[in-house]
Amino acid sequence: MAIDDLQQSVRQMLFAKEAAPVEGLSARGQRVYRRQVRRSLVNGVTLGVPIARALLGEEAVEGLIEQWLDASVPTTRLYWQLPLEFAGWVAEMPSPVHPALPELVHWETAEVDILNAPDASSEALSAAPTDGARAELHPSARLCIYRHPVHRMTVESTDWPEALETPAFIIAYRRGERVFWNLLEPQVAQLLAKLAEGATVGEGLAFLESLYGAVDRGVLVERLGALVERGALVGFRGAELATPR
Amino acid sequence: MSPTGQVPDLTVGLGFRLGLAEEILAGERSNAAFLEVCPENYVGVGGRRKRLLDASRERFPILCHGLCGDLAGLAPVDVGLLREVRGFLREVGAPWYSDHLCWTHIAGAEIHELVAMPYTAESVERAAARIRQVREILELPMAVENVSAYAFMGPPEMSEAAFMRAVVEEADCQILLDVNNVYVNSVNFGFDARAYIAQLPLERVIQIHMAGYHEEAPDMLLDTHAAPISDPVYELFAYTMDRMPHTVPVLLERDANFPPLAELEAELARMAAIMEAAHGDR
Repeated sequence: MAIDDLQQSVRQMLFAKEAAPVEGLSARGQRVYRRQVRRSLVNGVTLGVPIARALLGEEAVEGLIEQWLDASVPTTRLYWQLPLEFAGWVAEMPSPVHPALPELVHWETAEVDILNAPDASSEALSAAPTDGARAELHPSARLCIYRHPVHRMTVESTDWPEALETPAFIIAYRRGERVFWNLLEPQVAQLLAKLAEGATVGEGLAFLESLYGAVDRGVLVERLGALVERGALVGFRGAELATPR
Repeated sequence: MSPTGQVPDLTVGLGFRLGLAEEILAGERSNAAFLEVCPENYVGVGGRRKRLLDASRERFPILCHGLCGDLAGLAPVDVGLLREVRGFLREVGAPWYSDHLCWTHIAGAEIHELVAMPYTAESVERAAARIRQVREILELPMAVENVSAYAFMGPPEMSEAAFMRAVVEEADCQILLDVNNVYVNSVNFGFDARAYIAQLPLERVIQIHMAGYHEEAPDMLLDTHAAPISDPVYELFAYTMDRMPHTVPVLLERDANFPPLAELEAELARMAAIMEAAHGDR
């Protein structure tokens, strides 16, 4: 068998829902490889979703991960990123066991991402969000929107949360070695999203004004300053430019 | 001195794992003279992982061992990741880089396991070319590790030992000899482990790995790194050390079912005693 064909066959043996035998390989060896590979991948994901495991049970979560492996294949070379790939697949599930499941898995794996994100540089930045300044988010900062309060769930949670009346906008980040999160007002969340794209503070505020008409620039700038104090934002570059109106 | 640069030549070390790191760092002394780190778990990472790694670097020399280099694979080498690894290796002062002689990427899938490749002349050429390419990118000496295997990937054209020898000679690289993997494969495929060791160009061995296995059946052992080293593996290690023309750092791999650190320290001491018996008076 040509080497490319052999690899295709081995992939089917490892990942097809019903293992397709590879010609010329011992049946027992194939069973061992399939089990070992899938066990390694399942373990890599389960570590990242402790709340889902506590709520659904180990077997159910492992079954879910097995479904992912049946339907897709991991593409990251970094083992710690496996839960993030799994979350991407769960987000696309047509009918999850509960509508909050994709959000819970997203939240749990976002925590993995946050805990492993690079440290902030030690460069001192301004804390003043002036008009011409560009914000530098902490490298671990992640903006999330949830329709269920999954960010309040713990491994002690015994039931799924009710849907929120309005979505929760959250910025989550690492301070020290722990994950912190803050609820954001919708306008602050939109402003942060714009700043994360590279807009200046002035451009971000102008964007909000284009959406809402007048906005309270003073309050919004104050919120940005508070996020610097908490560590979600490292600070601002180019802050020597004009101050906000 | 062995060809190991900064790492003392008659030493034993431990794999750096988060599950062990706090305890190792909390202890005043350890039988471990170095730690081995898997760069893919640390490139671009901050927080607790980085803090523990940085703290470990202050106390121990660091050796680096890759997990997903896919050295016998078909997909293009991941140059971007390797450049990140190169930066990491320079930062920690690694004297060489090792990875597994196997497949870790199969037809688009990253499998996060080690699957043996066919023992063919074609595989020898491919693996040697990739090892040379990786070495050029990393700008460091390369060592390749023999992996445990559970099935032949097609009819072998040569024995595993002959395959290993052909690859390292063709690539002109070093060997990271995993003694446990030799033993596991000798049981799984019914060959003489000592004859395997005797066939290897031991002058190319730059480091040794030791670990525990799980016995799934009397003729099927699994390389788990989740159990103590077994007596037959210690015996094969002693046989190997007696034949090594030089001493090299020897690593105890433990990835799961972590026992109290004292048990690992005892395993390190037993390995060190075997090394001392073989090479202490040379």
